[in-house]
Amino acid sequence: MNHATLIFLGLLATFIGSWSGMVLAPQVQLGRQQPDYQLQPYGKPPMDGDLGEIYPQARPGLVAQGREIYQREGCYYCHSQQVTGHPADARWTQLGRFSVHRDYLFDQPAMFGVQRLGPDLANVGLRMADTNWHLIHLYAPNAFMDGASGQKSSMPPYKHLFEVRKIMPQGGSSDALKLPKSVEVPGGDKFEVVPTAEAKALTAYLLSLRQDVNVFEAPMYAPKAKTNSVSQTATNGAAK
Amino acid sequence: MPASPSIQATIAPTSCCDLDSDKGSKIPLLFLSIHGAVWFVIASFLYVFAAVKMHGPEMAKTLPWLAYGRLQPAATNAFLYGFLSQAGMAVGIWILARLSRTKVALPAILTFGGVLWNATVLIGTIGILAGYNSGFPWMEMPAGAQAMLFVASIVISVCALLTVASRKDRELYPAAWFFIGAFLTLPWILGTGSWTLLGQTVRGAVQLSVNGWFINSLTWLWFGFLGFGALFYVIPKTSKTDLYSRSSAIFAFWTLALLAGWGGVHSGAPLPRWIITLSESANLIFLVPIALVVHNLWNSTDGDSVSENDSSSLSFARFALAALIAYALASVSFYLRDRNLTLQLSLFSQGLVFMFLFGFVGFGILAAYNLMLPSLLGRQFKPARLGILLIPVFLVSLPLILGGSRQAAIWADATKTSADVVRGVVPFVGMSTAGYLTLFAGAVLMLLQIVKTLKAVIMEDCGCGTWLTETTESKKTK
Repeated sequence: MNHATLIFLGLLATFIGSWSGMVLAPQVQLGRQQPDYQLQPYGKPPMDGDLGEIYPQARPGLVAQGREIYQREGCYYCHSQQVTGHPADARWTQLGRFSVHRDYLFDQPAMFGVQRLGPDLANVGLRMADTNWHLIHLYAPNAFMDGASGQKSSMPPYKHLFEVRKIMPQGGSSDALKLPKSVEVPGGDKFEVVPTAEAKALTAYLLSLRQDVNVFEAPMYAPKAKTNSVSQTATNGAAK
Repeated sequence: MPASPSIQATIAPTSCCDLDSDKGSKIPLLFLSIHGAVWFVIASFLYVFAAVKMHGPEMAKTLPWLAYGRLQPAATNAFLYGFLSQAGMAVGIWILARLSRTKVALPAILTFGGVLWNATVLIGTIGILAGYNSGFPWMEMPAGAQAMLFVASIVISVCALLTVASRKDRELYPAAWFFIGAFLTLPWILGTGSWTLLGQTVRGAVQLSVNGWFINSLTWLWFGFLGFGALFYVIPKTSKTDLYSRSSAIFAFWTLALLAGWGGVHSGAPLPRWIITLSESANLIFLVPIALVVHNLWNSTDGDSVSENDSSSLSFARFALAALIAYALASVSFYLRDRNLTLQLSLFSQGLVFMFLFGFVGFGILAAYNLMLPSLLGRQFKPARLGILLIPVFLVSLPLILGGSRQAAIWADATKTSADVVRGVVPFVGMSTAGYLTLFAGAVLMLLQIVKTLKAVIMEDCGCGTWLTETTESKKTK
């Protein structure tokens, strides 16, 4: 028997087998999924005549630019964007549900994350909706760490997304960061830190991360875990 | 199955330049080997830098190129494609030529393939550092570089497969099965993975399934097969015994081929339950072929090796087998659903992958390097000094595995915060940083040793048809 032919055909068959199972079959099952209609987002009470919203929605413009910066900086190496079925993951969701395929329909590439050295960001836009907080956190991640413990953040400061400018005699920029006292501005009081367009875009992207609609196929956590998540929301937001 | 022919009968002793198969193969194989060693230094340096940045994120904070999120993927890609793939290609083609008792086919084209491969990895690594990251783990290089890598893989694989096609003995040894499998599937994996993900033909969480399939296929069909092929050659040759069981090796080959690609999706993925269950099952069934290979090869290590090179190669090969066992034991804990839900997104997976890629595949390839380089250079190589490379296998993998367990346990406690996680993993990251430093030191030592040997060969005639003499004669003829 010519073993080379056997190896070629056998490997081709096994390769096509795994490709069919892990690429083709999921694509056949999920590939044509569309956004859902008439859904009620988290925290928005239904009103008379309200037809609900479409979920998910494409996020073009500033958010799309921010996603490119998130990708460029490799943020997904330390932050995940997926709420798994582990009960402790309930802390990362306000709705008490897991992440599902539909949540990522318009994410290209979808950055699910390599590991969680920092918090999961699947719902960071819900958990922390303050633009200034995100900008300060990007400029000086230690600004919000627990000073009493002395523990510093392992997140790098993204200084290159900000400009340090001298405050003009007629007044400072309206965009300048309102930094806490623990963060020093290079040059002293006469200078201000102003976010660049890239910093604003990245913040817009982070704020857009919100799996805030209950879609029918998403599994829910047990009620106990959900209660736990609600009590933890404030803690995690502050500790982040 | 045909009776197991003795591998010893086909392989001459490792003295300089005594095989036809080495003639004309030197330039492309040395090109791949030396550049593999250069990339080993670059990758380990990037790993050290990335690890240091975990401790001191404020260091070089004004240089965006040196952010952890760029250094880590650049290091991973340089390690996978620059070092491990290239060194594996050199070893694989050299062994295929020896087992086939023939010369390497199309050496000039192979050298061109090597140049293209290196240029691509260089462009890709710089691209990642410059911020052109594709966003998919293990294929972070920019789309253009990924396409070039696919073309280079075709060129190199064609040369490897044509070498086997021109073999004098129709019988194929188990080592050749694994290398043929590796070279056949590499372009398929790179081409299909790049086209599907970078070509944006799938969307949503299907991207996670495809990325998992790509990583798992590359791990087993490419890197795994390179490691198994090297061990199935090195162990019988250096221990001067026949392979314990040929049929067991062939069964393991087909089982691995059948399972590869199915195990890339983790338990918490936002995908239908059937995909996750299939993946979990495949990861646990992998233990069967691993056990078969370990049993088979361990029983083939009983002979007495003679030369210093053989002895050291056998030690490296034994160590690779031990690392494979350690990987298998750790993976049982990793792939159980309840544990995988938290461990997958922790340092544990990084440690496990390092144990497999460097402990098993890397040492399998280094064991074959110890035989290949003296043969190609016509001079003894002192591999004993490379014992330093044993240290990082423990000092990188174990802290990452233990630190990952700690990290997962902290996240599993809903009262803990990210500050607790950082506090919990810092000591383990510190140990792994020391491990990466020894990896860098070992890589530099290995490169220096190769360069020193090469320089000595060029400077003096070893008396048995050296590379220098060969080159000089060919110049005179021209």
